[in-house]
Amino acid sequence: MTKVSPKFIQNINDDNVILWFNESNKYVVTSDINSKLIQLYTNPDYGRDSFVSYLKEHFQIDSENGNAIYENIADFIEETTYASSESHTTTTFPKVETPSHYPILNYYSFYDKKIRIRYESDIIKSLFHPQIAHHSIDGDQKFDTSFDIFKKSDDLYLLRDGDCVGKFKTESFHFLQGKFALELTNSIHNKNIDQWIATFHASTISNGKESIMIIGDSGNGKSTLSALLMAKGYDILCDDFTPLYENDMLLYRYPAATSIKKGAFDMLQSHLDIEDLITHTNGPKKVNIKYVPPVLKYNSLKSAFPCHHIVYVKYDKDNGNALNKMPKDKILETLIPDSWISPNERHALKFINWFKETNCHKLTYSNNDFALSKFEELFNG
Amino acid sequence: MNSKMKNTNKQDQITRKEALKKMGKYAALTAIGTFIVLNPKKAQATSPPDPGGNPFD
Repeated sequence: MTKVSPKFIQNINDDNVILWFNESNKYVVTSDINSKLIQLYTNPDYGRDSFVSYLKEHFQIDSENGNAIYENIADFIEETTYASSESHTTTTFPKVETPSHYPILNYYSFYDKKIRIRYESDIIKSLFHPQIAHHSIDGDQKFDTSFDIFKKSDDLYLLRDGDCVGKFKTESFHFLQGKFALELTNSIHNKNIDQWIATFHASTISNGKESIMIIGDSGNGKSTLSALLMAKGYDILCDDFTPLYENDMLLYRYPAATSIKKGAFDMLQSHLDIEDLITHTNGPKKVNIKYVPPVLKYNSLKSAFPCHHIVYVKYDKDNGNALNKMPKDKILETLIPDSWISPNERHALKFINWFKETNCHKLTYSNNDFALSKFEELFNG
Repeated sequence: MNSKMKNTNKQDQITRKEALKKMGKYAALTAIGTFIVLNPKKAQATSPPDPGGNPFD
């Protein structure tokens, strides 16, 4: 039997190596020595005994530990192989009976593109429209792309020009939102849907020349900081959903408004006029949200930028202000599990190479002016 | 096996902290140095403002 082995092995800094397994689209971030042990394990010339002997001879690891390491790697490889039996994404969908009538019809304009969206219900509309409401136009029956969104039993469907491109359970509606976000981005920018490398759970800011990606756990203040930067004249390229394209390795504009939670309303009001924006109530916990549209005129903005910096942000009112270099392995711990990364082998390699070239930082702040000044410094390099 | 969809949902509900906790089972490897397995999401997603809430319930 052929052993499963990592397809790509690359150093991301002096101490850590990233391994990628194409069977499962899993990434492993590990120390240099562990990477060597995994490679030794996957070497077809080494069985258990020779593996343990090798560890004893070259790394002074006793038999007990050598065996434990062997079993750890065996367990991990088994997990990796098991995952290979699952498909990553569904690309074909069974034929579904579409609604005979959509009661809600909206038209939107993005650059030179007109998009028609038909919603089957108000609830469905509430999941998609508020974020892009600022692009609404009066309908004139002409459009470049159409999307239809409806519910059948417990499934939500997304059609693009009549073809089903997404199907998710209602409880997983955020995956349908994600699929819609990528399809919309793809249509607006005239791209090939198969050439998106990743959609990062990140907000991205631009100065008109390049971009900086902001990551962090939910509630860390990514969107609030983005809105503050927008108030200072920066361009929000993406809020919450940042797509990376293969051909030019640029981050592309996702034209949604920035979602701001109630806790930040008062603070932001002194920087941006958000008072008159509608407050939406989401979910059973009744979270109040405002969608803040871009200040800059959309059609004058470039559609894509290179990105050389990733900043992990953490708003922390008790722990002062600091911008430090963040180890790349720590950035990956947040970035990878929060994002979709294409399982395509070529894309995985391009993602790794792109990431290796980016500078990683951690920004802890309680003072907004401090945070803004640090972004200014990063942009001015 | 249940539907693929169900599996996907379950996978994506594992948070990063839980993933780190799971790494405890690779104790022999983590004793030597960093060893963390990272799974990207299996489909594009946006972050729901109120995770876990289903507006259709």
